[in-house]
Amino acid sequence: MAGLTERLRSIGTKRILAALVVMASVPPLTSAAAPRLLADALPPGHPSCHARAFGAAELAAHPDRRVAAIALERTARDLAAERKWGAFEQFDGTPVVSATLRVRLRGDPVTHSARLACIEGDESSLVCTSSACVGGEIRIAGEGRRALTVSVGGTLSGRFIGHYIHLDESCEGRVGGPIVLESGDDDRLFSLAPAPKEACR
Amino acid sequence: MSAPARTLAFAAALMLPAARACAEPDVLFPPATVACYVGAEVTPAAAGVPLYRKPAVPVTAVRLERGYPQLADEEKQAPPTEGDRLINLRVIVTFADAGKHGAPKRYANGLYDLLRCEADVCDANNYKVERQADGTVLLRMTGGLYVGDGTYGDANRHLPDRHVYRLVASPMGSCR
Repeated sequence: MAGLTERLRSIGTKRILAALVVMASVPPLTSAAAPRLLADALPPGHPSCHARAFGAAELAAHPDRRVAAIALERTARDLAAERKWGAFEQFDGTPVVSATLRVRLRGDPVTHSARLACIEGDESSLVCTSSACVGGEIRIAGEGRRALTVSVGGTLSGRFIGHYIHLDESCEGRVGGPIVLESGDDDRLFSLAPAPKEACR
Repeated sequence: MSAPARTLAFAAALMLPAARACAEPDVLFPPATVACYVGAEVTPAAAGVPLYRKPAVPVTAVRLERGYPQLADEEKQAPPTEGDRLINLRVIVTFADAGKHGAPKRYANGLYDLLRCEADVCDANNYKVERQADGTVLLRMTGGLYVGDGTYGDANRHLPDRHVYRLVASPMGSCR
């Protein structure tokens, strides 16, 4: 009798152990298991650089284009910010990607930059804002082969609605107005290829 | 088609867009239309109006922006069922200590605030925007509004209940 009891107890223990193993191996049903948006181009835990520079011929062909070069970089500081945000409970509006946008404007030797915090938006794009001067935003989407599309403004009901993002921290405090990247006719969409980090400096 | 009929048809074609424009509803924050209002505080001095606290710093400028992000958010909302409209607004606030001692330059409400609009009033439950006869709008706190500095999890400030701000319609560039 004692042997039977012992055997039953052993079978029960094995079943509980097996159930625990199964529970531990099944991924949770929450989105925590889902890969981050644009994880191929902006891999979590790894720095990245995407850049585009317009040559003289391209600028000549688009006289209204103000942007001469544009880059999006994630450094160790950004990765630390992403880790910090990832530890929070995720709500709509919780940032997932940190990056620095750098833009050189035509006829201006200075490279202007904005620190970005990006949330997951609709249509597989990141919505990125600068905390220095809240209000502006850009959107970042993947375009395959780890390349990115940066858009300023967008089309709604068949009509383009322009927008902007601040490229410095002056906000309204700068004489002559803020420095912004705005969606002019030739400054709405930018295709950025993966690049070595030197291209982002 | 005879020449006079052709002329009439051409004239009608020319008039159609104008007629359509006239048919646009004359309402506060009409559908699919960008807007920017800029102004400052006009809270009447009265007993019992809560003061700015933690820190006790007043507001120097308020902007109401309805640009591409707000219109994009509105477009994905379900169509209203009771005839009223839902709009999204960005309330951008500058305090008197902006940029001093590391204080943020601007604060703003959340990205997804929705206001329910009638012809002359849009109501977010904790604040309202009211169109005035002179074309300005009043931003009226009816409970108060927390605004953040744009960095997740960091400092917030509060526009207290019963504070009022008068804002003037301005070019979109004024809201940048």
